[in-house]
Amino acid sequence: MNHHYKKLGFKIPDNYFKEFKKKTLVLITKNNPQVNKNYSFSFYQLSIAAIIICTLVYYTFSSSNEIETNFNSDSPIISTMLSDEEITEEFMIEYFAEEIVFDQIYIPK
Amino acid sequence: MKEDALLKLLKNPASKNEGFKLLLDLYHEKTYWMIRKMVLSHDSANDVLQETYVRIFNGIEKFKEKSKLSTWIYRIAYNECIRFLTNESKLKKVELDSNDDNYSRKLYADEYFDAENLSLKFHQILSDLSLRQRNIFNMKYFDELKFNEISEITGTNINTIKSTYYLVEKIIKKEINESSL
Repeated sequence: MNHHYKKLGFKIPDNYFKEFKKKTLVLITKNNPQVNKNYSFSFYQLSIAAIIICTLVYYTFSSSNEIETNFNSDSPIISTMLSDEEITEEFMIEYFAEEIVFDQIYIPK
Repeated sequence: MKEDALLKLLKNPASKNEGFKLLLDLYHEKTYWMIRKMVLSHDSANDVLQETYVRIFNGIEKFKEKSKLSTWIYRIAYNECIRFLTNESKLKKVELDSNDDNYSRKLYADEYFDAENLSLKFHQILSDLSLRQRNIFNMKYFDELKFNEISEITGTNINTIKSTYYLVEKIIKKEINESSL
């Protein structure tokens, strides 16, 4: 802006710009309180967070896989299913003898 | 402070208020004078300026950085002036291509107007111009904005801006020479 605007004869109250700034900042701050938390993270901090998250995810999934595959593969039915063989009556009798009958029959010591 | 550093402060919630203080320091005086030349009275200029900076604060995240920050600020101020003048005239939309019949009344009603010979002559010339012509002339002559900036602020074709400015300049020179100011 140049000095020509003085030709227009416009005047302003004393300390107007200082007062305007003060008043506007009060108005803005009242409606929008300052956020104190700093959300700008460095690349280093983000890298550490990413590594921790990846490690947690890896261990969570690898342990859940163990649970899923942790079965008794000696069981004739399961081993048969795994090898795609036909489940015959023999297997069933053997399975019930091991898994159910012994669990339910009271055997006095 | 460079514009990109200022924008970084303004777009971070933790430093937004600090950035806004700096933005006010840099632009509020210039914005005031731009508004004052459009709305004429100090009280009106004060209201429009306040509304402009509230809008800037609330909308800074939406600033896409396709233009200079100052151009974006002046565009908001310009739009606020048009809104104000439309409300003031109680018309559907302020006519940019017609002149303001209340120009002199607004000036004399303002206690912050110094009615000396030189300014009166200048205003007499400006009052004969349309609002569009006056805005373009003011932005170029007083605010020293570039033609492309004026084009972005007013949303008017750059060639129209140039031809309007040179026409107004010619009219003013002629008037001033005739009255030997």
